[in-house]
Amino acid sequence: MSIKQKIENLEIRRADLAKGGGVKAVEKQHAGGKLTARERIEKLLDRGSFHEYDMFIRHETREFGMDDKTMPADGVVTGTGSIDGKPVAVFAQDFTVMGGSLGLMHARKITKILDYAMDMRIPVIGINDSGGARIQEGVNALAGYGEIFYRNTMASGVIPQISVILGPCAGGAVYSPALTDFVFVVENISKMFITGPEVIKTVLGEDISQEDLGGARVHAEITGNAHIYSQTEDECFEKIKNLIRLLPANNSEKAARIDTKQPESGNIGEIVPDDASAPYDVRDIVRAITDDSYFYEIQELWAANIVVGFARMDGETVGFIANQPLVLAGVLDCDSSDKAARFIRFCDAFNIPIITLEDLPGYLPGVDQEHSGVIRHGAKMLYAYSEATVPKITVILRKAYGGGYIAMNSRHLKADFVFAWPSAEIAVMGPEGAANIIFRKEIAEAENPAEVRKQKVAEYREKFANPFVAAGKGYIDAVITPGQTREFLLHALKTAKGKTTATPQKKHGIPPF
Amino acid sequence: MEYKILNIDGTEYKTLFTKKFTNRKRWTPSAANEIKATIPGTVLKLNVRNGDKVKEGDVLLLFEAMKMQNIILAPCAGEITNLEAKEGDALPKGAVILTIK
Repeated sequence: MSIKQKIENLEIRRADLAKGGGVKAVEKQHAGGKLTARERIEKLLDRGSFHEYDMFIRHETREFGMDDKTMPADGVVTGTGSIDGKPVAVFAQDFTVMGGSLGLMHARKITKILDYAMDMRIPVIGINDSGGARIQEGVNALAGYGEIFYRNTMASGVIPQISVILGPCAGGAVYSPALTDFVFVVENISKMFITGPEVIKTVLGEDISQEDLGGARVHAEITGNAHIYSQTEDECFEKIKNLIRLLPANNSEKAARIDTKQPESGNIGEIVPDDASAPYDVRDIVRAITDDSYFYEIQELWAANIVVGFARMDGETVGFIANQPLVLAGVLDCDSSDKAARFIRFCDAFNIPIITLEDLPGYLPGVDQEHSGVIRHGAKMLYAYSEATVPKITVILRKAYGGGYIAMNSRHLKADFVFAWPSAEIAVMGPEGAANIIFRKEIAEAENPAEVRKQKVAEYREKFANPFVAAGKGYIDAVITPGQTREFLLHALKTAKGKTTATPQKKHGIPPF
Repeated sequence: MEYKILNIDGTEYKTLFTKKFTNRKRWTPSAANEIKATIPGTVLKLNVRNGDKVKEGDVLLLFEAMKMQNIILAPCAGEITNLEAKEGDALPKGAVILTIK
């Protein structure tokens, strides 16, 4: 064969492999509203930036008639490319090739690209669309999963890891996404569960559809396994790109600074109602503070009583954590503590300063909360805030009661800056509850208990429901007007840029997982 | 969107409820003499009938769940009542199988 013929031969081989599982399988994939693995990568990465590796990988299984089965690229497309010019590693399971099933070589391709990503210190994006373990390969398939989990764990906190669920992801396969930092799901396409509806029906007699068991909405709203929910694959890819833009490539870098504008809103002082028991959307405050009024929310639908997400201040990425009075009065509970704790640890690992906006009445009371372990879950948040060494700034907007005050990045957990608005109320509990306890006897013995209670509540509110008692102790650095908030935050972030924290020598802490 | 009232420490907050909060299971005290299905499963074999007297530790039934046979013993002595399940019945989690009076 001449060199020219050899080159032609290569082109033919490559074109053949790029067809994946063939025309029929691709048609079926498209009919389900799904793109193929290579189409997905093309949409996600900068045009023409994708470089595919290990295209010619072949499996070596001989049993169960597998010796005469060829599987293009062994059912997974791997390589590197870029998003906005920033290098990323990618793998995408190809459902058109034997259902995207995971065998030994398929797994080896994934572990190889994860190793590349770690060596090069670049983010990795994994697109999951697989029927599960390739049963014909037996324990080799299980070994493959385990080797992926190990690498996900080692890469955790070193490079950002993103999982995209664009098809089934069942059984052991779910644990790779679960170990990564951000899980993206798409309505009607994502399906995630440990045991599927058939097994559940056989063993437990419960009849449930795949969608109701582990669809996109379920994981975005009920389980908290998913971080970003989209209606379509295209929307999902845009959201991934926006997230990559906000993140550094690894834990020794800072996210790239970009040019931004002032926030749009000028009415920040009019968002919080005077009545301490009236709701408002705390995201309006966030957007009144951040560059371009931009806010990239994480886990929007789950544990909505706390809001977490990324934004930019003077062009640099920051993490926001805010109690949401609009939902469950902004209380802390099991789920919201988990949500905040995980986000804090991500920010801390990737050098992203944390801004906390506080307005909460305390922890959610209830038997289900206590029995679900709100003590253990709540402790995660205390641990995460205390442990974080990135700049940590708190703004108390309104209520800061009891244990919630301590948990929301208080001075006592080593916040760098704590500011409070004049509307802040820092106390052990709300005036009503406090007056009922302190003046129980006086109220009970009064001729007109309702009148005396009202009077005592007003007395307590006057004395403690303000920021000046805490400011008098130095627990608050400055009482500021809403209009000054952005300027104070920008200055604090600038001041804290060179922050160093001495932490005790240890192998690792033991967070209350 | 309709605001609900959430009472925390005597203060009534206007706010929205989550589905999870609305659907939370109300706690009820469980009686020690009630035998419940702790996980969904199937009644494989019944050793007792309504009206039978049992001693503490007697085998009441075999309950199959997660492909395992669980031997259910009487937690106390007494008379079997409220037994409606038959052998082969599949029961959901939390279902009362019988009561010992």
